[in-house]
Amino acid sequence: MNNFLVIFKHYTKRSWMDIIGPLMFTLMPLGIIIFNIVASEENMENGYNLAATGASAVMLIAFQFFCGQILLHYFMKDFRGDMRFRLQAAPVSGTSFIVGAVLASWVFSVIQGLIIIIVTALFFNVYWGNPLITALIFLIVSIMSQLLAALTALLSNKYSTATAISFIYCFGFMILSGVMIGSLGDNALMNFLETRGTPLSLAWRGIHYSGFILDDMNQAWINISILAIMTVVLAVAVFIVAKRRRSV
Amino acid sequence: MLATLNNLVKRYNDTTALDHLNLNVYEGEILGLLGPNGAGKTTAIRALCGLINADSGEITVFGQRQNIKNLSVRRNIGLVTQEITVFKELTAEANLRYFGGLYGLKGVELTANVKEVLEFVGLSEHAKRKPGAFSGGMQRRLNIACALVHRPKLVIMDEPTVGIDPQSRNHILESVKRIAQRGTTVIYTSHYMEEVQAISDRIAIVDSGRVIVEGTLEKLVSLIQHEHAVYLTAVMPSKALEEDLKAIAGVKSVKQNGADYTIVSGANSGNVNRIMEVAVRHGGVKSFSEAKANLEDVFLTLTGKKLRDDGKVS
Repeated sequence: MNNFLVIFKHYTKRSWMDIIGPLMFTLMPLGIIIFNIVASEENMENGYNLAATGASAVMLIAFQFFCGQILLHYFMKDFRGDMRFRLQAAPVSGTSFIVGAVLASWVFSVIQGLIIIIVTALFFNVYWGNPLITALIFLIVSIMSQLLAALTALLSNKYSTATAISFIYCFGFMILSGVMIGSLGDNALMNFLETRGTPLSLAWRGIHYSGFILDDMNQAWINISILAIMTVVLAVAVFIVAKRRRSV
Repeated sequence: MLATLNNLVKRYNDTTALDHLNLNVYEGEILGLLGPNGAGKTTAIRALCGLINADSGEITVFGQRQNIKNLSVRRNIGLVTQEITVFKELTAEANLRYFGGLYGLKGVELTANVKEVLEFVGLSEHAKRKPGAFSGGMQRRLNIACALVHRPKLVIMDEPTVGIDPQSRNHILESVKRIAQRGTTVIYTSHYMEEVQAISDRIAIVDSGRVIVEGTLEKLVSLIQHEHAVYLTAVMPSKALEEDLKAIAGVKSVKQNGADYTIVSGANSGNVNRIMEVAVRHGGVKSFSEAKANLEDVFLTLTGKKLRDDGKVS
């Protein structure tokens, strides 16, 4: 337990010491949301700005996945470089390092996401749907993004490879969900990808199902369930890969 | 016996890094591991620290079998890595607190150990500074401190002086001696002969994945030294002096060149004082020196290779 706390504190400290990370992962999505508000015609419904609402849900979820970059950065730096010899020589299991680092990075991304939710709700009239559903989706996605980053790091030996993979899935989710460059086509596959084919589409639609925009609580719970299953599968995969590597 | 590496074999694809390596480490000693780059020193150290498993053979440390799953044995080992492995974004003190914490230290004990180790490596004044702003020598000292903060019984130093200035090197060598004086066992690997010669109680020469010889410097030198030469310059050179020198027990030959004499004896003949007495009786000596074999001669003789300063052989 002591080891876990030491590692958790260490990565938390490093995440927040580097000002670029918090700024980039908080200000950039807010900037994109503001840009969307300015660029769109005002579309108010029930007192909420729908342009800002659409952009906010997508940015919140997309940047949760980008937040995995922080974990990836520290993981590759510490466990693929020379530092790994000193860390692995310590009486600490690889699992403790992974859990400590993942949780520290998760807390960071949750705080970053909360700032986006609070700022957009207070200043941009953004509608965040049912608070319980939104909170569940947000927490599940933030854990999933950290697990995805951890898996990427465990499977990569080079920093450049790991970064490339993470950018591919982050942008891939945005493109396939149809939120970055619009719909890729009107067929069964594309429709599936845009509605349930990626964690991003499941998450942002789940938030909108929970309120007056898409208004279907059953669909919201289905999306939450799929996201939860994906997260559990990812957690098992991380555990298996970590065990197979024998060390971090 | 503190640690034993018994018949270790480690292969990486077609390369044999350790080829039935055997080594004993005794409590309280400074064991110098000398060998060129690629000799297997670092692989042996990693196996000893439990960072890698050997393909075959056995490692025992503090009476326990060492392998990558044995975490408890690591609590008493400190590894000084070849590269500087400190967090440049954290202060020197924060680095030490983190590494101490990983070894289970906390509270008052952690604070006391951090303070002590900073003093030990001469970085107390720089505790709140980040190592990114340190000189190379200071970074090396912090690198060593990070391995000492939990007061290990065994410190393993893998080429800790690579790429630093002579002053910092001397500081580190003095530190190694002081670590050993506290009762800590030290394994010191280097390809710098003079370092190993200066600080080691025992030396093991590693080449091609195996220990080819181990022992004290005197023992290693005696393995290769079959003759012993004394050079003297006489105040009053004479044929009689030459004849008297030849008559000394153990002397094999005497060569005279003006006032200079070269006297060659068998190894361990112990006749240096007698040679001096004879020379003084014949009018005294202007200068006197002995030719002693050193570690470089031992290495060259036993491996057939000359070890260069960059760790490569020629």
